[in-house]
Amino acid sequence: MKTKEERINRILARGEIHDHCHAVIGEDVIVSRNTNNEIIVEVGNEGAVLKHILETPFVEDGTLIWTKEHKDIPLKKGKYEFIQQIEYNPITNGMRKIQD
Amino acid sequence: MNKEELSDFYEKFVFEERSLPKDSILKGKKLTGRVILRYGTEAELYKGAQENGYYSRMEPEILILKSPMACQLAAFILPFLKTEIKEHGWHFCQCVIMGHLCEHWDGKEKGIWPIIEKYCFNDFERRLIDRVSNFVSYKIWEEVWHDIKKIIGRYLRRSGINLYFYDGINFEYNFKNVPEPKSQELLDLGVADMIRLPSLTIVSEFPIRILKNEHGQLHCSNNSAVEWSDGFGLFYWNGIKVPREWIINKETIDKRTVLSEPNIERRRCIMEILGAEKYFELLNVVCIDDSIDEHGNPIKLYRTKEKEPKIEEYLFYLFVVDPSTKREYSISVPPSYDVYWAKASTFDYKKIEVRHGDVGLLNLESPFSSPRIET
Repeated sequence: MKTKEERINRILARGEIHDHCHAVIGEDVIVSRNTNNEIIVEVGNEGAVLKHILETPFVEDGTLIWTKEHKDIPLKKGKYEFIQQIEYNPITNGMRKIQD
Repeated sequence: MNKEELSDFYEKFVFEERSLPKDSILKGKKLTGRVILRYGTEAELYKGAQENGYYSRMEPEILILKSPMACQLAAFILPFLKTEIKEHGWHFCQCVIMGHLCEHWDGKEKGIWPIIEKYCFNDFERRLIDRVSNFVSYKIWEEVWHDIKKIIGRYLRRSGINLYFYDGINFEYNFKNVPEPKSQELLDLGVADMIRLPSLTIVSEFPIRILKNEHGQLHCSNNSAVEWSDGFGLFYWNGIKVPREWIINKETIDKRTVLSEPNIERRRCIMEILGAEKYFELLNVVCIDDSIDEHGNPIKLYRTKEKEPKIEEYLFYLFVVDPSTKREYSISVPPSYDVYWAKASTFDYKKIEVRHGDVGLLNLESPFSSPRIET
């Protein structure tokens, strides 16, 4: 994650009103996004960690500052699909992304 | 920027605080800001005249105001006063700005529009589009937005323009034509926020009060958590910025407030401010299913006692406790009668292996029946 773009790519979700994000940290990781906006995380043999950190310092220079919410989750080797938490919008009778 | 460079930076400017003319509209009112003037060489000033369209021997370089809100207002107002800067000099504009700001904080919220209309209304909308939307910056600062909308709402409605304002808590700097100082140097300079205009930088002084909870998050349960010396404040509840009314006039929070709030964290704030019992009383709901989740926390499903008139349907809410923070949340769910089915709906009924707040990871190689790890 040497470049800013690489670090941004590791962010799976970010807060709307607070400077935080969920990011996959590790050297042996590929995060890809397809045209349907689906995010696939491929973790290699070395594993990875899902972290809840402050977004700005991470994006700017890679500094990892834990928000003190949501402890690190180690990710073992595998292929994962990111699923965003959603909630029901009774007005539209549809689901919407949870904003936090 | 090292100390020598910082010293050079200072030398480019002559700092001078100027008092206002006695006959200004500010007469009898407090001064809420000060101006730093730069004395340039003739060549510099001539160049400035070519670039800016007017010649001034003492072109104001930095306007220091007491709060980010004051900066926003000044930045909004200044482009409309360029002609007046040229014709009447900087003092005129300074008076206009200060006068308005004083009146704003005195609670009168009047004064600026008659002045703007008198001097600048002819191309108001064109200038608004050309200037304001370009130099204000990223995140919507909702408190500022709320206040600004009250003032300029009628113009915005007509033109359909979106404005984006600085967040006063973010320390972002970009001095024009000088090396960009690092945060600490700017802190040493007493600069807390700034807005760059083509020929002027408007900066805000530091807050006079910053209150936090035991976890270091901005928080105050009965007043502004961050307050500037001109009285402008920002309201936070355990790290989440909330509208002023939620803290100062809690009785104004009603069902409409909850239903119209799309952000789950802010709904959680409402629940904490009111208390869960009052919160659900407000929503007029009844618990139709409950259980204890795998972390030993209560999980409940609520349904409104009556159908929502607008859609003629019952509303369903899931009450959950975040296993990491132990915070309580209410999530709107589709019609459900089983608390776990309702919970599954929040991740699209998918069998996620990892749950990390609002992030779920589905293992594409070996799906699980329930989250293996959840924090």
